[in-house]
Amino acid sequence: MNCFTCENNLSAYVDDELTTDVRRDIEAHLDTCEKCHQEYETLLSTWELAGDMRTEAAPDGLWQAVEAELQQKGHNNTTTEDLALIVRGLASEIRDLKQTVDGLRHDLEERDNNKIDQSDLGSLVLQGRRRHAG
Amino acid sequence: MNIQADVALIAACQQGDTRAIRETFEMYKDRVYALCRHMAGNAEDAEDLTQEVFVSAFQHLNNFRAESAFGTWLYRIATNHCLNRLRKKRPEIHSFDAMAEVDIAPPAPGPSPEDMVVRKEMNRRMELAVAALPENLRAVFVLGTLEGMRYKEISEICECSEEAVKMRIHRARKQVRDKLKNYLEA
Repeated sequence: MNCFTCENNLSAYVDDELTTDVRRDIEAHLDTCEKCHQEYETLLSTWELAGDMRTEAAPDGLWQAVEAELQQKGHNNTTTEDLALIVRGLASEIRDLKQTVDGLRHDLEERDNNKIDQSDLGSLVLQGRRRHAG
Repeated sequence: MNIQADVALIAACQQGDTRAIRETFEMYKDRVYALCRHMAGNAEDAEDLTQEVFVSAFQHLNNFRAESAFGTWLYRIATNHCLNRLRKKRPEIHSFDAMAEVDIAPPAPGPSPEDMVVRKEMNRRMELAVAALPENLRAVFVLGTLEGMRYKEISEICECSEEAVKMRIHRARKQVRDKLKNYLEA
């Protein structure tokens, strides 16, 4: 392996992203090349220094902010098409309700008529009996 | 990247289950915040960015088709969001060169108060060096070096080849190294 190839692979070597064969070649080259070894050491130091910055927790209160914005956007996202669908749905429900009410009214009226018919029939029967007895 | 929400949890989120959404948020908030923090270079912008990333992700959950892991999809949103913000904020003046005038000693072995101060200062310098990177290099440096992701996942997030990730990380790391050269040689 030459210096150019070695140098180009050093970060991947540090990150353990190379195949076993390439890794072995790099290690063999680093053992014999002072310049590349020096390059490797400084890249490794940079990687190690960056390690200090890796962990950082999110601040408190983020969820509340996210939740509030989601709710706000959820309300704002109602489009005119959505509104038209809602209105159409409501109109359909009102039609269904009206039909139900009309049906109930019809049933009640029929029941009342039947009662009247039955009471009329009852009084006629009573009158007939009285005449017959007299 | 070890954290991965399972399919059932994300499916529940897609159905609008607020408890599942909260659980997913808790699962990923620190990683997304850390990514935004390193990309933005300051805590204030990072907080705004994290909020925007989650709101955007939860609003577009139905676009997630499980072709990749949920985390990868979320980090892609976060990375793109940060890059868009950086592009809008451009040109930004990074004060690294001005700070190079400040002379600091390398840390002595053992955790002394001075050591802590030096470490803090080094973190600040590292932040500035990262912030000075071009956007495409910054994204892979943050994901690969600071977040410890594998090249394959970075390639999926940044939608480029693993070879491109490898080259960009190397270029980014050399640029950061050069910015910190005086310290590293001391």
